[in-house]
Amino acid sequence: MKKLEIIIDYVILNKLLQKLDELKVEGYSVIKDVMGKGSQGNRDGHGLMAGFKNCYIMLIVKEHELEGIINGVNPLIKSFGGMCVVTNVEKFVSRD
Amino acid sequence: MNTFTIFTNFINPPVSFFFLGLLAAYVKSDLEIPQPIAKFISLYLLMAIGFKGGYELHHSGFTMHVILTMLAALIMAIVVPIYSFFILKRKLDVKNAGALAACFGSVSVVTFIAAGSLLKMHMIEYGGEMVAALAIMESPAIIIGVWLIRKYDSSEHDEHHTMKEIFQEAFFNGSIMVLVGSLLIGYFSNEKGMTILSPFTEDLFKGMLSFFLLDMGVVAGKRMKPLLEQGKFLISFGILMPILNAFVGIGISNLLGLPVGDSFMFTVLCASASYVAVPAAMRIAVPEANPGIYIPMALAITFPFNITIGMPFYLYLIEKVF
Repeated sequence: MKKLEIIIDYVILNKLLQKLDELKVEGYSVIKDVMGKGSQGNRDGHGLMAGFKNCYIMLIVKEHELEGIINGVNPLIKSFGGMCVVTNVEKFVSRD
Repeated sequence: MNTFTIFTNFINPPVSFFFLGLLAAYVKSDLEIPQPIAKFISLYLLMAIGFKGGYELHHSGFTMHVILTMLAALIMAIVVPIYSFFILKRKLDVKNAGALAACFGSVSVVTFIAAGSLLKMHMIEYGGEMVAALAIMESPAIIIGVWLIRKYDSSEHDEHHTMKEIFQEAFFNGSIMVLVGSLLIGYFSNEKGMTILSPFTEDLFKGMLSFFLLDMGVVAGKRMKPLLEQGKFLISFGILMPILNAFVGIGISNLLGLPVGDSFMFTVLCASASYVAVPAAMRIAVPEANPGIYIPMALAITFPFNITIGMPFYLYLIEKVF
């Protein structure tokens, strides 16, 4: 199993989640209001407009699902900035 | 206009709190208003002015003067982004020019509220139809901006959002929903509704506005420095464009024969620029445009200019002209 951690512009969160649903991803966790610094400059989270803040999405997927998700997420990251990190999962406990 | 007129505007508590926020950002104070609170106050302000506007519109009714004002608002919301785009395109790329033109073609609700507060100090009334004009002017610039970019941009880019999604963002965003919804509720609930809600929408209003402008001052102060590094053209545009739009607004108000209060509010609507609703939509529609340019321009240049020097200047001109 693989763990995907995606950091992306907050304004694109709904679009990304819609994409994950289309890819039949069964579950994910989201942290809104993530600050940081990167290719889009300083994302300090200030101001009412969400243009200066990021969000963090974490999901655990099976290996064969990985490529489809990365292909889906990649165009959004290319346009809006952000990143996607994939790591191996050594142990995974869930209700299912 | 004399220095006293400007000074009385500066000592208007909401404006003073804005400067306190700017000062806090300048001295690198840790003053910070938590964003959920700022968001709550912004929704409160929208609800209060929407409700009051609806109540007043109920009393004035839909006269020819009201309809012409709304039509003028719609025309300005379409025309301003078009001429702004062609001015900006001389110095900026198409995407940034379109995003910035959309911001300047739309309106700032907080500038509108601060303008209402200035009129109250001068004991001048304005009609409820100006709140309807505010709602009308909020969204068209988004569509015009995206249309101009797609028409003039020859570079290949991924369109992640369809025009339907952009329309959705433009016309059904949270601010528009609260403003238009409150306007309708105020219109239909009339006297009874006003009696129930006035402790909330009237008595608390100035305090909430002051608190909100304190936050705006902090945010504007933080955004100002990186923008100053972008060069003279953008800073000049951020100051000269509202003045040009204000002159057009005064001319139209004069043609329509609007009373002083309505003329001033219409002029302020023409002169203001959006830094919340439009940037949110443009970020989605045109991700390649730099939000580090179009948000600070409206927030850290045009907004402070309008609420300090611009508004007393426009009021002075209107009182001279009418």
